[in-house]
Amino acid sequence: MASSAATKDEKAPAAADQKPEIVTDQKPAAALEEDDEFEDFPVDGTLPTLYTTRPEGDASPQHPTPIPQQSAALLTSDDNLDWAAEDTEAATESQGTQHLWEESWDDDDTSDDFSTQLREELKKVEASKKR
Amino acid sequence: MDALFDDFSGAQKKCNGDLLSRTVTAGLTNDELRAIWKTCNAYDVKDVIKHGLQASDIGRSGAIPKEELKAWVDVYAVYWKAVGELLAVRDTSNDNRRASQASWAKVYESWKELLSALIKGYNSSSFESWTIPCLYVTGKYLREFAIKADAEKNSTQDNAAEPNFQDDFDPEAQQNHHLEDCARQLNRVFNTCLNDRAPLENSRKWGIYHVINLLFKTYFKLNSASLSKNILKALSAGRGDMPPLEAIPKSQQVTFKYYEGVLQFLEEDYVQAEKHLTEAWRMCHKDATKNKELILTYLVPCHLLTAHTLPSKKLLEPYPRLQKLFLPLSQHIRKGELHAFDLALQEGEDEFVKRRIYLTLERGRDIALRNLLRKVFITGGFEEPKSEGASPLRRTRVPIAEFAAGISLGCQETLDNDEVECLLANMIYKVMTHLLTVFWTQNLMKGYIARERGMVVLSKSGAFPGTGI
Repeated sequence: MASSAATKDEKAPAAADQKPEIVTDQKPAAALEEDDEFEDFPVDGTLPTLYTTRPEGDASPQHPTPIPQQSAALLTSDDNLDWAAEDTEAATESQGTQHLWEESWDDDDTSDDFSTQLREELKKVEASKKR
Repeated sequence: MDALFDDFSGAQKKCNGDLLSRTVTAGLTNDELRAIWKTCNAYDVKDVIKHGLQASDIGRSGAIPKEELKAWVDVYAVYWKAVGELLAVRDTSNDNRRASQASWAKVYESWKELLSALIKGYNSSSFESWTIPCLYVTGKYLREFAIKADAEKNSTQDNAAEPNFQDDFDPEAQQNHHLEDCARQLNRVFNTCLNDRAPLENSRKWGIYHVINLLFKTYFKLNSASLSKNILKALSAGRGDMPPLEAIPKSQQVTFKYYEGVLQFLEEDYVQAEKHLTEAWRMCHKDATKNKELILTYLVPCHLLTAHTLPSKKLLEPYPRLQKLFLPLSQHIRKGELHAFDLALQEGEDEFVKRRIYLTLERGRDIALRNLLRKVFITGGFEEPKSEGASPLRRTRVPIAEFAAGISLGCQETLDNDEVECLLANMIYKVMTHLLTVFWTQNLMKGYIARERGMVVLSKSGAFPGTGI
């Protein structure tokens, strides 16, 4: 089967992944409730000038306001944070979303423990029928 | 305070709502707060502010109508008071100077007054729509203070072990007393935005998604996510009249899509949920790890049901918590280890339930079962070719006993043949709810059960549709 080579390759990191997993278990589940909330985005972005239209013919309403230096710190979690398309998650997965998901059955390796066990079970069934 | 007047003037001149919202913010250092607080006292505050605003550039130019300026004076007078409360509570956390006086509850109340003053300004229709950031920024801090006030109350109640003799004491309601009130206040803000009849380009509706996101967060925290549905209903009722979501900053778009998706997820509308969560995921800032983790928490179970696919190692790599959550289950699904899947689901039950994903993951059992049956089928091998040179055919007649043996593999108990037949019939009957479900449906397994012979006869062309055999 075409995928058998690929699945073999996967096996190795799979085993390696298992270990650090146990180490990171330490994180207490209790802390989860506290931060189970979608956060404001604490990243650097740009502040857009929002829909600024001054109806009564003000000379230059549309210009972006330079952010005063002293309040620059406020910017870090601003409500109107926007970012460029290349900073989105979609941009980082330029190879397409394909590699994010694997088929649930994409494992036709029949040499693992489970398959071996299964084969033995099936043999037993066969044998009992012949009797 | 002079800096505040300058900001006000500058923001008004440029119609910059963000800048203006920084004149009613709580996001200042103690020194900045103190600078505002010290400028005046309770007796002359209104005069000081009135003169300050009038003397500023914009005040002198006369661009702001008198009525509106008066409303702003009211707003800043309340703001000044709120600053005082905030400062008091922050100072006490350092030393207990005014411990008896200051509390987050008081901060909350004063901030509520500020919000009311603002709403009043809008309802008398003197505040222009570009100033709307003031409203949702104030709402944001109100929510923050409500949470702190509730926490403060609950901790002091714990300390004071005195029994409470009041009747009709409902501890649940008391616990979130402030946050519930906050939800009501935010609802007022929501309506202030929703019911603006001005033309769209000049409408307060531009602030609506910000407020909705605050409401979503509040409702979820209050454990009454279902109330969010009313908001969405009101929103879609006026859909044609709303600013397009795409015109809103991405931070708000992503938040909105996330909550919309989670709500649909909770209603088991997985197809819609996946759509919105995927949009949130793709648009999310690449460095916002925590938020991406939250999106995936729901997207992964969603994807399992809609597309029968599992997250790749690479996808979960940056999130140890999600790895712990999903990797064991994924592994068992992929390998068809049905019993191990049951055990893993049991083991993680508390965590899954807390995350509201237990029921969804439980439905993944079908896929684990499908993969197990598929494995039995593959292990069955091929028929002997009837004629030479013919491509080998898989053995499509499989004894039920073989499937039974596969299902009981790993666990001690054995199933009745009846039970196994029931499971098999379900597999044949069940259709996968694919995104394209309208045009195309797939059963999990194709074939029929020949009861009298104890056999399952599987389809020769694709016994397990979509899996290559």
